[in-house]
Amino acid sequence: MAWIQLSSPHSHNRVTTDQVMRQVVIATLPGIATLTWFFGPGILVNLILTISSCLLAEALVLKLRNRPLTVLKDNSALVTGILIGCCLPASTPWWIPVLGGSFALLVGKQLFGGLGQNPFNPAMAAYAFLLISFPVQISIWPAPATPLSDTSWLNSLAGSDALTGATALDAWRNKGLLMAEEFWQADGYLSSQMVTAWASVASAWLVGGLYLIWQRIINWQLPLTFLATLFIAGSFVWGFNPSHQIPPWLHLAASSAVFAAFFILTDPVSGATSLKGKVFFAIGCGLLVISIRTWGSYPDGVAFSVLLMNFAAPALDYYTRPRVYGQKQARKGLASKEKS
Amino acid sequence: MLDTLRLTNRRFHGGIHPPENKLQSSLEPLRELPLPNEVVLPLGQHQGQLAKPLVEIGEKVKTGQLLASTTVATGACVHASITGRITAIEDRPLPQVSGLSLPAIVIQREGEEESFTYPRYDNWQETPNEQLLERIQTSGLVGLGGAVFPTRTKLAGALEKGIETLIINAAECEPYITADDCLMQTRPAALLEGIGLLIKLLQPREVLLGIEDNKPQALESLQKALPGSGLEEQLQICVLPTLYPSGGEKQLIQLLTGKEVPSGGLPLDLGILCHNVGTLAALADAVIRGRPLIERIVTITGQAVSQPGNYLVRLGTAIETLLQAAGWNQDKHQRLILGGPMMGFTLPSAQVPVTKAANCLLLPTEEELPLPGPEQPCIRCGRCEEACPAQLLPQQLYFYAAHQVFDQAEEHQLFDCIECGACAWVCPSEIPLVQYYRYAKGEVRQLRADAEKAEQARLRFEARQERFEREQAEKEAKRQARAQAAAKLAAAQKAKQEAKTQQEPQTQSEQASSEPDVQAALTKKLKQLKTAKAASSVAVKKAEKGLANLKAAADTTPEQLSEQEAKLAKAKEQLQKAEQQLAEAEAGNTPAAAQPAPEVKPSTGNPEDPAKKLKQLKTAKAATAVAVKKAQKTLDNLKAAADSTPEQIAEQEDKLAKAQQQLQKTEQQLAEAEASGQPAPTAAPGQPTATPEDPAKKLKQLKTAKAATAVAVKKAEKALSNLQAAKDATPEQIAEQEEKLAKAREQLTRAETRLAQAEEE
Amino acid sequence: MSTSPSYRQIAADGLWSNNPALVQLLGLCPLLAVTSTFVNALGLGLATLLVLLGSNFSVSLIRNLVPANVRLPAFVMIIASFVTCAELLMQAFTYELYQILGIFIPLIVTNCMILGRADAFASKNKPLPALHDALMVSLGFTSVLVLLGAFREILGQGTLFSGMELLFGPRAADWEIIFFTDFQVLLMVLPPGAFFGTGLLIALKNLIDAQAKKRQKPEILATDKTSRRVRMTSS
Repeated sequence: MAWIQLSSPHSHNRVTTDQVMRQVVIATLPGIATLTWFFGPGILVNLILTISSCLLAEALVLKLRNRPLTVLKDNSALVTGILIGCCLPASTPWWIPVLGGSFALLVGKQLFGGLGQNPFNPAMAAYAFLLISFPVQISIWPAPATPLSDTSWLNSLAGSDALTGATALDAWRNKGLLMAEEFWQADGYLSSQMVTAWASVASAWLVGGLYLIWQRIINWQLPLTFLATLFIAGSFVWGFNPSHQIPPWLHLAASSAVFAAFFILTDPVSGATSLKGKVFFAIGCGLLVISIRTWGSYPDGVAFSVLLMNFAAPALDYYTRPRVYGQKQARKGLASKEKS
Repeated sequence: MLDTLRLTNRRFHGGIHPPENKLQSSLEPLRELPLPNEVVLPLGQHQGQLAKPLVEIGEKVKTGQLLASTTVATGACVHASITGRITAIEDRPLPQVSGLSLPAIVIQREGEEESFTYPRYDNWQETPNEQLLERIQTSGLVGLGGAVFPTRTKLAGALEKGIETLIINAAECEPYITADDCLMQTRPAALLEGIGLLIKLLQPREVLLGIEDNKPQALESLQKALPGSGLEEQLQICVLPTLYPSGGEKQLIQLLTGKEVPSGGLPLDLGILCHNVGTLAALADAVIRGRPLIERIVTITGQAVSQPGNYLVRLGTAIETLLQAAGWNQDKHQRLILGGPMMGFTLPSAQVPVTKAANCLLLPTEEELPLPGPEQPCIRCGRCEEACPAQLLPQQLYFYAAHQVFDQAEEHQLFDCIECGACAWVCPSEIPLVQYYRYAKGEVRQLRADAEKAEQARLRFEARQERFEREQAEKEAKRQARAQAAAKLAAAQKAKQEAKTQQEPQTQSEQASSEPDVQAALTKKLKQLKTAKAASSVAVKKAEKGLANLKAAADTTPEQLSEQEAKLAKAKEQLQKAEQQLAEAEAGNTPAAAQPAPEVKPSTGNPEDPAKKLKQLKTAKAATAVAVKKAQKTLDNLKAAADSTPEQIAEQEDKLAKAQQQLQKTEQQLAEAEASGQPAPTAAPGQPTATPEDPAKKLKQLKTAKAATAVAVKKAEKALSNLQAAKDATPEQIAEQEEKLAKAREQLTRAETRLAQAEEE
Repeated sequence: MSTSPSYRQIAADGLWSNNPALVQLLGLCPLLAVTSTFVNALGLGLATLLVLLGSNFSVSLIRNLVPANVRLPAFVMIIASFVTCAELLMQAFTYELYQILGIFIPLIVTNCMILGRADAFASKNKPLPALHDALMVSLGFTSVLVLLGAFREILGQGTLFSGMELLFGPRAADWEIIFFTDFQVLLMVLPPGAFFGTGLLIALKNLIDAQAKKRQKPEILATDKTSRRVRMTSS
């Protein structure tokens, strides 16, 4: 009888990729629930559309590349679908989530070689694509309407004919010459409902993120650094012109930042390799978000800043190699061509 | 004073918590395995060179007898582990992944056990260190923690450098293994004695023993044995939190002292020495009780054995015997792992012996240690980096190893990887990382070896080129010197010629100017004729051979025969014609060149002619001598052959006579030339511009000539003796040969006199 | 001089197998910049066609007179002259289109495709083949331009043939076809859309080529099962 010959180690901690992804899916559930509560079941429709289009796109590419379809079991397409679905407004037409999901998988992930090979975050690439292509449809959110309030909760399903509103940052961008204090008082631009809704969503994302940290799926340094950078840099900018700049708490309360901190920046494939690199990645993202929100032409720049830092991740790897045991200093970069 | 401290302030980076599974075997008492019937003792159970056997097949040996020893520093001895007869010294498979075979001594058990005990060092406190080291060497001690490095070498190196900290590795961090645990519970006194021995040898400043907190009984037994051992003041027992791999040497040092072993260096560089508890107990046995290393504790565990536990096993026992004693369930078992689950390797068969490196045999079932799933792409999650105790970037190492970019892998400190397996344990994509690193390390080592070989080849090539150039330069220098001398001679003679023939400058100059051209043309023509003659003689030979073949063949027709004879006749005609032409040309040439020489008038013709002519004649003589020899040989062959006709023999004798005639002629010419040519250089004193080189050169010439003649004499003597020895030599031949010999001797004496004359000058 | 390729070969090369935009990837700057609508693409394509025809013909006429080491500056001068002519023509007859295309008309001079054809073909062949080659290459380029322009216009604006009156006069104003009114992918009229579109066109061409090759040779060349490793070189 021939015995099995394998290399050590012969033991494994039995945590595999699909389990990791499953944990991420679980962590998004509070956020999804809160979004649905405040913005209607349109969110769920979006999610179904994005998830199915992601899975279909991945299946199509696997077929073209003659790979087994069991690759779908690693749940990475599912996670990508959920992440895009959570970014899209509840009342977008059906083809927006379908386009977004397909683009994320086809262009954002599979064109680069599949799992582990994409240099850009697929969800953010898809969101950027949608934002630039259909700026109107992406920015219009329905007015928040919980099932408990008077207005019909199912408005979002009806599409863009329903009562619409802008996100907080959008409204802020369009407030014109209104001073900050007046902005908060005037109910037309930004209702308190809006703020409550978005803040609740942000808290839900936070809960999910803390769950991930507790399960040791992600490390805590990355989200903390990002949010801290946002807050500190935001305060710095706000300090110069408090009546016209975004207050620091709004940077965090607009839920995209919290969502990005726990679910987008922590995407392992497109981020930096070492822990030091990841921290610099987060700092860079934070600074870029503040810059775009303050001086850029888009109200919210999380997607673009993440994509820009994805560009920079190899350079970060070049400079942030850890110090190896037995070495005095960390080495930088790659081996030189000349023989030593 | 006992100082048991819990280290909370020092950590090493990373580390994992695999399920320990130690209770399977640690709850069982130590069992001694019954003596096996056969042991196989490989000669290479340690790092370094193989030991050399001192015994022979058929010899009867006692337990503990020295079987193989080594004189080099990196080697260890091998001792008999049972009493019996040596049945074989041959290649046997080692417990290796590859099934590598190495020479081994096989002993068959015979009779009652008799121990061969070495003298005991009861008062080892006063024994000098060299003696202790010697005993360690002859006891075959190696590191029993798995590295099997010869202990004596390690200690000798440590003595040289000096040790500040002695660390005893009782961590046993790997899951399943409890051999050290068992040792500490059963023989703590031996361990402490070993520690004492090392303290005496090395005189360290501090002694630390690191033990993980999952061994409370072992700790207790140590604490109980400590009072009264004399080590209370010096030994510090440090309890470490259970974390894999705290037992790795580098990590243990970092935990206990906070220092890091420099990359590519040894703990000795920091003044630290690490030893395993098993080694220390064996050390005490060897020195104090005079027992060499013949047995060790092996943990047998895993759910595929029904009686797991620790077994005291004689070295060389077949693993199969051991497994059967432990209740091996062959149905449930899927792989045999030597070592623990993290760093052990699988064995291809159980027909291998237990060696000094075997500390555990793990037989897991499928459920206990499931096989890994298919390798998925790396999602760059970074868990491997978090877990790596050497603070490497396993992700990058994996990419570089997988894509065979080995220089980048080396740059990322590939060789600092201790192959602990923590990275592969945490990898969610189930990538066999350690396998990639091993592969990359092997490839890099191979590349380095190839580069070294290429470097050596390059050096050899360069030296060879240099040698060629040097030889060429020397030859060139010699040639130039000769040309210079000849040119000077020519210049001198020319000056003399010009001085003498001032009256007839025109005709002389014409002659002088036309002489070289004519000379050149003549030599060219001469060469052509010579070639023609050679070609025709070859043609003649071919025709003769063809004729002989035809005659020898059975089925030749008379027409073919006559045809061939006609061919032969034609070829001979051509040869004669060519010889005639050549002779004419030579005769025509030689007067022009030989005129100045016999007349001793250096005024006409080039002074080079005598020397050149001499050379020509010498060559001619040599050629004719060769022709004579050939003819002689053919004649002998014909005479020896059965079917040679008298005509052939007569023909050949004719040829021989002709050749000998020619030889005589050329000899004569040569002698004349020499006799006449000699005065030319010796008339040099008459010339106003005699260069001082001439005497030396002449001397050399004469010496060479003498040597040549001496050789000729020898040859002649030898030929004569051959003839005399040969049965079928005719008296004429013998007389001929004697004549030749006399002539040669004459020439020799002449050359000697000339040489003597020249030397007198 | 070796015989010039046949007219059929020139056509096949210029239009398909050596297409300047999809195979040689030359002239990508105007390709990506002006193909936001069909009419822009067509306008630039026609301008390039005129220039290429003129320059190839002229270069071929003087090919034996120009020394080899000054040929490139000479060709560029010829091309620049023709571009100036084209520009002046456009300024005169299609002023709005000229304004829309802006700097990309003078930039035709730097279109590597034109200098490339001049140097690779026109300077080595007779005038008639050179003219034919110019026609085919520029048709190939123009076809890619208009395909991309159409693709981008349909997806980005939802229309096709809008603005054709800029090129063809007021009669062409009602050639416009409207496909969508509310589905407009803004990305398509921006530079990223141009890259995506070009990439898709190249992929499509490669796909067609692969299919054609597969149809030609239905049986895959079987690996030689009888070949053996005769000599093993050891390391």
